[in-house]
Amino acid sequence: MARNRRERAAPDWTLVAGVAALVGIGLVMIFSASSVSGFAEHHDTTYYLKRQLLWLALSLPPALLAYRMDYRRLERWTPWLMGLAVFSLAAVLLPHVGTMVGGARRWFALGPVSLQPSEFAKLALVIYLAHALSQKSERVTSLQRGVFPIVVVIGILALLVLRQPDMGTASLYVMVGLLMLFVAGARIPHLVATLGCMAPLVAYAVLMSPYKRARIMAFLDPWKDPQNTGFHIIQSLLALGSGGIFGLGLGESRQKFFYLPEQYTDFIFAVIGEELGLIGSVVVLGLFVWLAYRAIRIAIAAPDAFGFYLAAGCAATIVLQALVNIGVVTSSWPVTGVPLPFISFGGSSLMVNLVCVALILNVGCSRRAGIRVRALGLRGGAAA
Amino acid sequence: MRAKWFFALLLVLGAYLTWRLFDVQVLNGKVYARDALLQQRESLDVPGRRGEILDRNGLVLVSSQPSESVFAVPSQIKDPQETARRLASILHLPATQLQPLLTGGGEFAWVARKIPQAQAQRLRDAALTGINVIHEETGQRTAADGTLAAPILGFVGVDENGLAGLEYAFDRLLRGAPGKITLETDHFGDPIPFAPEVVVPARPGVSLQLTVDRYLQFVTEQALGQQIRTWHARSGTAIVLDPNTGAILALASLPDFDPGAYWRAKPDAWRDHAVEDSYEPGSTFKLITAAAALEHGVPPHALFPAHDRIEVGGHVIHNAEDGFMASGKRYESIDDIIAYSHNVGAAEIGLRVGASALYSTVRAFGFGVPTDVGLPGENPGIMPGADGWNRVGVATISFGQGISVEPLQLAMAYAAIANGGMLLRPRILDRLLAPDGSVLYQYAPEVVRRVVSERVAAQLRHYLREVVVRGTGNPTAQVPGYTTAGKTGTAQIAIDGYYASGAYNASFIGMIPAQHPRFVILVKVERPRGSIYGSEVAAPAFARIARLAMLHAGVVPNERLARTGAKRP
Repeated sequence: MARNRRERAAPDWTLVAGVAALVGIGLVMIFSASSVSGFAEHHDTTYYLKRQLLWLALSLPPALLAYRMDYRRLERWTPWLMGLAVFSLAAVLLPHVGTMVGGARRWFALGPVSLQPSEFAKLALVIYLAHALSQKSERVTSLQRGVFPIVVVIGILALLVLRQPDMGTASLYVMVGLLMLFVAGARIPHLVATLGCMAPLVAYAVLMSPYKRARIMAFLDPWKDPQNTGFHIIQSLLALGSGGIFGLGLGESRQKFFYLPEQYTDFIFAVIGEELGLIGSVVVLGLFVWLAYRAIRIAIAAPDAFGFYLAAGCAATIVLQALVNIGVVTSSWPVTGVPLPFISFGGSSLMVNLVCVALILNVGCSRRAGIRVRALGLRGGAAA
Repeated sequence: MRAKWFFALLLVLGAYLTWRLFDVQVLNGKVYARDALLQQRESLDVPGRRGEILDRNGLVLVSSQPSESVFAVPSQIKDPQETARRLASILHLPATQLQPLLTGGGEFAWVARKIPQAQAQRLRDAALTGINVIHEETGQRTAADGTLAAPILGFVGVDENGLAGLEYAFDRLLRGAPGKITLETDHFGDPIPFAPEVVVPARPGVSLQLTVDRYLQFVTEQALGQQIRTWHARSGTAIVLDPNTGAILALASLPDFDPGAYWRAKPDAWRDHAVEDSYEPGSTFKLITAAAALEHGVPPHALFPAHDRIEVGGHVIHNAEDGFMASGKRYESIDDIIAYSHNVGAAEIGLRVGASALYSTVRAFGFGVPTDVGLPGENPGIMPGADGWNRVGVATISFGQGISVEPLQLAMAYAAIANGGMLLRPRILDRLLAPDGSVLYQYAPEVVRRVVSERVAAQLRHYLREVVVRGTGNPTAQVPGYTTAGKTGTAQIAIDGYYASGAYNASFIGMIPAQHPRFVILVKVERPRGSIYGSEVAAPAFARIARLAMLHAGVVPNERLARTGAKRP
């Protein structure tokens, strides 16, 4: 058994604690933010809480599996995982297969639960990147043989997601991909050139789509059309501002009474800021930074290149998504519908993020025997 | 290692977002919080109950009753045509008028306000989507006795805002202070459950207790109305005063209107003819001339040459052809002149007194200035200017031509004569009452000035008594069992400076009992047809009101006076 051949260390309990705190805050805030909608739509204030608890329970077995397995086996699965990701992303676009919600075809409806393939594709992408980058550790400095093929793969996934349309997730793929290339040592001019090539494409996509254009305009000046395009952003700012330093108190949000759209999904962070104040919002932000810190320490201490890229990729996926979400809520980034990891209501996202954390922990437990790893100058040095 | 830079990048982004959070939640937090409250809070004004108007005995004349109103939320109405049709059948309004209100979205539109209770109930039972009936504790202004005293009381608009009469004049007192309920609402405007409601209770308005006696008001309106109908007159007014306090006990103005449907009446019906009209008083003004004479040293029994026609400054003055002619005598006394209402004699008195003495007495009686009774739209009449007091002017003013007076002014002048010479300020308000019934303010009689001495006033009352006993007031102004005194008046109506042919004001002002009057009563009928004489058109109403007023005051008729009646000439 692979497990027996490796030396297993204890998991990073501080990372586990940080993630548990995020999931706990998420459950409390989902209950607070969704109870109004739950009652209005289903006559059950705990409707969404119960569903999220169910998803949490469903997520634990795969997460435990991801933690216990030999993560190196994922390398061999990479083509299958990527194939599945492309297939499911293509399939969800088909009418009668994908479910249309709010103008976007993003979900497979499977009885009472719905799956969001773009979330699972994220995981496949991270595994693919870890695999590809660990394979071509030297070639990554080459544009044709290193950067270009990876960019093409990312591009395929991103374009499929963009068709849903889901600009938020697509841009997240691109950001994670570029970040991983950067970490792998790709040359900065190559990355800049890649971005340069994408810029006209992005500009074209934004200009050709009225709703994307409206979102960019709303980001630049939400007060221009406060009832329409600027509504999300303004309501989010009003929620945050109402919270002040100490917040209105848990459960006391007023903005969740349908002023704030997506109040228990993409904009749940605004409800946190309203109920728990600056203190609560900074604590949540700090927990994500803490997660990034522990994950990168684990990555650096990883026994092999694949483990390094896997841990770093998982961390990048989670934390970048969190930063984008908080950036949207604070009007620092145009509105792109990405959920806040661990906290926003949504089963696929919760499951994928927990699996990501499990993989990070997995890498952290698998150390090279007897070799002390030099830290990267972060406080604490080697992962002891 | 690039991983270090990766973490550094995340730290920088995290730091930037922390700064953004600090900026949004703390630096600009107050502004956003205020904007949030602006959209989350909704204040509803709760109207305060409007004060009541009560008669002198506390009987309710006007009060505000709970009301029902209907509004639509057009955005909730899916089939405006059908909704309009069903509304129309309940509210008895044309569907074509309702449908535009319900069409085209929006959150609020009044459909009908202050609807009858039965309609409100049927609407509630129908439970039409997007149609709401609201109940308010106030809003339905209700006159207890319909048209009774309508021109004094006035009326209110749809928001219970006073538009005429006392409702208008004392609107600020009557109007309650609205209360406020501040609710926290969700995005759709529905109240948030368990959120605190801040309630500022509405304050009811102040109630007015009038000096008016509901019974006398009724009697007065009936008596006046009967004369108007009998003589096919255009309008009329009658005033009942307590001469000792200046209290207005009744003030009738006809035709009147239903204050609950004031818009159906001609605006002229809204007028309170007792204060808003001025008219040439005619013969009733001769008493003022007599007062001027007595006050300025003319002996009470002075004699004047008796003529039915004289010429003053090229102007011919003659007596009315009413059977009480002066011819056949050489001289006549003031009481003859008053009793038989001789214009020539009155002119001779005025000319003997002179312009300045007559002027000062006329002013002293309060003519030409508003009485300050508190009713809106007072028309204080027209005093002739300096050139009006030449010989012709003095001669004509002496019998009540060339000057116009407000009926209430004239009644107050007679009240001064009745009470021994004091001009009082007329009062229609007796008290202001707080919502709990306690007295906020008690109005007291107010003396404006002494106009004539007690002795002169007694002499003037004697003249008035003679009118009833043997003159123009005999027998129509007599009341069996009581003594009355008073003066008839018949005056042509001047329109734009010319006397309109056949248009007269017939009036009678009198008092009962004659010696120590308890009531001064003015009756004036405009444009009677068939007769123009105050004695025929107005005096019977005076007599009827006077008798019932005395009975109402608990003064039983004196059997001896009833048997002998008044002396006949």
